[in-house]
Amino acid sequence: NPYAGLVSHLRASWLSGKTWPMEYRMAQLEALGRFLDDKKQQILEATASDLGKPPFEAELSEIFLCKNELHETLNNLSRWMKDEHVDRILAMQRDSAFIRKDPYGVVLIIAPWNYPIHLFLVPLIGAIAAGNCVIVKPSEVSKKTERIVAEALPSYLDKDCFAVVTGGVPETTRLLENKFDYIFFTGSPPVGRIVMTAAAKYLTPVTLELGGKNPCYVSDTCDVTNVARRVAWGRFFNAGQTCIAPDYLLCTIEMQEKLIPALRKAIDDFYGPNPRESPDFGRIVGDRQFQRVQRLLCSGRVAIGGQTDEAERYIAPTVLVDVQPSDPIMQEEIFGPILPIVVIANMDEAIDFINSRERPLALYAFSSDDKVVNQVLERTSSGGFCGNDTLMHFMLTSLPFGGIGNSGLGMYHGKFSFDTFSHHRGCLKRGMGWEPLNAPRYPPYSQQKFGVIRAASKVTRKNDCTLL
Amino acid sequence: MERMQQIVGRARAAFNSGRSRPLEFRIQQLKALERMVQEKEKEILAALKADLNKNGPNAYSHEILGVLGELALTMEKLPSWAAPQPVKKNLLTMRDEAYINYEPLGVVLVIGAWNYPFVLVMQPLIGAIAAGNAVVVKPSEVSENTARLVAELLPQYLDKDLYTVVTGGVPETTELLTQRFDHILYTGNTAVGKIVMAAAAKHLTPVTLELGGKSPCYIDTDCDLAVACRRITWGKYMNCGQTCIAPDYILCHPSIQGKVVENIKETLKEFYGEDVKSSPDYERIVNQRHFKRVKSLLEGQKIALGGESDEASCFIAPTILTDVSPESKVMEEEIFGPVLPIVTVKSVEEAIEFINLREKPLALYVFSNNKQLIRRVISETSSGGVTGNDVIMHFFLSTLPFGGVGNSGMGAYHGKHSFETFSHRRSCLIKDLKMESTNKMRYPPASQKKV
Repeated sequence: NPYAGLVSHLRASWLSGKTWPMEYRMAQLEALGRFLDDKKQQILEATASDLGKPPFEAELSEIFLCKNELHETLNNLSRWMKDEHVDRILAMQRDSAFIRKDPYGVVLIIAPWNYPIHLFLVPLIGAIAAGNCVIVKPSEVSKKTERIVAEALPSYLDKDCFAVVTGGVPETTRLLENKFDYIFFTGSPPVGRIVMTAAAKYLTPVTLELGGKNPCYVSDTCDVTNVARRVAWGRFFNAGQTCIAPDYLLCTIEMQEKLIPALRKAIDDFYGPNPRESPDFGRIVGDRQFQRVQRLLCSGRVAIGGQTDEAERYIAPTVLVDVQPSDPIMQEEIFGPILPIVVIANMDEAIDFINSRERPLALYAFSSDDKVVNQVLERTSSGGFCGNDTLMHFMLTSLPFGGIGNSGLGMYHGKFSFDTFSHHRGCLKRGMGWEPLNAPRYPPYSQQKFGVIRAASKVTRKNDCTLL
Repeated sequence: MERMQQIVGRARAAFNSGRSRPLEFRIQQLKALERMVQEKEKEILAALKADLNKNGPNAYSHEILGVLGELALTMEKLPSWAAPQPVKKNLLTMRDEAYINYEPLGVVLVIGAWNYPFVLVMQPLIGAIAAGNAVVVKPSEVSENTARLVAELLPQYLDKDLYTVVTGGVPETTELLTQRFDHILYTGNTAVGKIVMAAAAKHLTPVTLELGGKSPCYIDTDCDLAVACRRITWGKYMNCGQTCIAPDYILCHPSIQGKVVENIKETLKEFYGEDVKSSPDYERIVNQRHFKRVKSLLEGQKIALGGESDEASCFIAPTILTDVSPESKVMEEEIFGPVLPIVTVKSVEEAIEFINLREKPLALYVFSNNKQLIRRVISETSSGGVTGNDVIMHFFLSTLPFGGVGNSGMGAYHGKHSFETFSHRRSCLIKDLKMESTNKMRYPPASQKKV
């Protein structure tokens, strides 16, 4: 077991109590901030090399949003760490009752390649804040970024408590043979199953941030120009390689006729007449992924875009029409810059279509009619929901970010990260005095004692239950 | 296989009909459950007596009172728990609606245990109904009378399709676990907990596992031993030691070991009289298999008190073992019986180290007049929950999350924590289709200015 030594070393560090003081955690978090500042240029270059990530996008998602999470955590950590006192029943008024936030111990974070810094760093912030030791396993697919993480990150953090492990499937499989106290995984549902099965061997709790096909319903009553811009932005950001990107669009044939020219204009405004020459449009991460996405182009008919270049792993911002539910592009998460439009007759049909499929990570509905947006929200289920825009719910750290069903379990961001990586321990501290008050609970039981208990704990709709 | 598929399919169809979503419906079902507990009190107590030899008043306090309390609390608070929760917005989202919507998960599976067979099925059921789910209940077959009663009663009071009871043993449970659920709450042992989680992993089903372990009880030299021992005696020997949060073993300084034994001995006389076996308030081990298991833990041990047993009636007397070796069998597995080993330690540091070398327990107890010491033991160890200067009691405060950590489990429930466990917290951001100018900054083409 090649990683057993590393895991037990980290566990020993955790048991030594090194990571428990707030000052220690703050210092490690501040160091993470310095990592982002010092390595910003290298990160922008690495993600440009790995994914053709436009510097604007990289700065936004890999630096800016990470620093937001960092600052939010640094600003609030002392408050989050405090024991949370809870309401007490009558019989416990003299006691102290609170929820303690204990670290779990040794945490494993497995990150994907599409936002290669963000998707390990934001969970890492939560894990450190909660007092854990952490092993980070960045994706081997985004190679240049992986190298920065493996070579530079450890020198910023306490090597006794934090480590980076690199490698592919074989290495990750061996890593998962060890006992962790929490596993945080971002990736695909099939691998999510493998991770959870491995975790079950040790009863390790998990958070799985997975994916799915995020539906985007556009009603007939809406501002088509704005809809087209917001949808295009969400779809083509990072060349479509975003877990919460609008995956496919549902609308009536009439709306489709209006949307196509609006989408065409939006794409032209964003990327110019030849997106391949735009510095603001990304590339597919690898050959295998490029071929997979390219194959999906045979579904329906190309209304906009459709050009590809294998050498550059370029796929043009593309919109497909005449797409059937049985087409290949409707069978898997696209994770590329292609937006299929599936025509439906009305909102009810759209909702039925959505509900007959796995619950997605995100769900979008566009309408100038509030009632329509609310109907879609109420009659469907998804990890998160954004009305009249795409992606934006991700940017608010006060909203929990996570999936449901096939799109995942658990959540994070902001305080939810801290809570995810803490064990919430219920504590009751009583006094040794007032022992006579305990008398009714002790044997020998008698009708009289029973009467006392019953009277003392008479339950009505309005009162608290005073038990014993 | 087909039978389980049909049952779960029916529950899912009932859930998809949407009728469990309105709060009025959920409260109506909870009210019906409340009526069931009140009207069938006699039958429930009789089943508990048959399964565990639990006495009326005892069974009522431990199993029925808690359920009624949870029902009352849930019905009162449900509207506030279920209300959408607005969240703090930033400058960018100032004009938008941002909130967390509490939504049902779908079809929930509740697997009960035999030691508190009624409450361990009812409390999760209450939370799952409150959160708007359909529920399949699988009571433990070991407590067969309670299982049969629950299977008879629930359909008489609740919506038959939304809430179903499945009875049976390992084969039936295994079959059930091949079906897809949206949450599974399992109460039981660590070994089966792993099987449940592995089965859940196939469907990416979130789980709450309420397991067990050896809950340590540290008694400091600076404490009121009489009071401490009375409380420990109550928690250890209730239900004949078959309580997941019973103090499993004691850690104390050798100089007070003798006094601890004396105090517990006195308390036992007070509780059960001179002849424990004839006390109506002392329960029995649930079956022969567990009787033999617990009895075998006594082999080679120094019995300071008790040790008597009677196989025919599954009776084991309240027993204390002294100077127990950490390597002995009784210190390996959760005892789940009326046997209390005392392991001596020279200091609180030694006690903390002892505890930390072992799996994280479901509960941890520490008795001391010294508040600093209590704080230290809590902060330098980990456990599902803690009660200081008493045992068991943190279970009864529903504002505290009840659950394990590590080998003792994952997730928590009780009160609002049940509602949250069985709900999906869906993030919602509702923007306006107008105000597009504020979006211009984020669109390409990019420029340094925009960044």
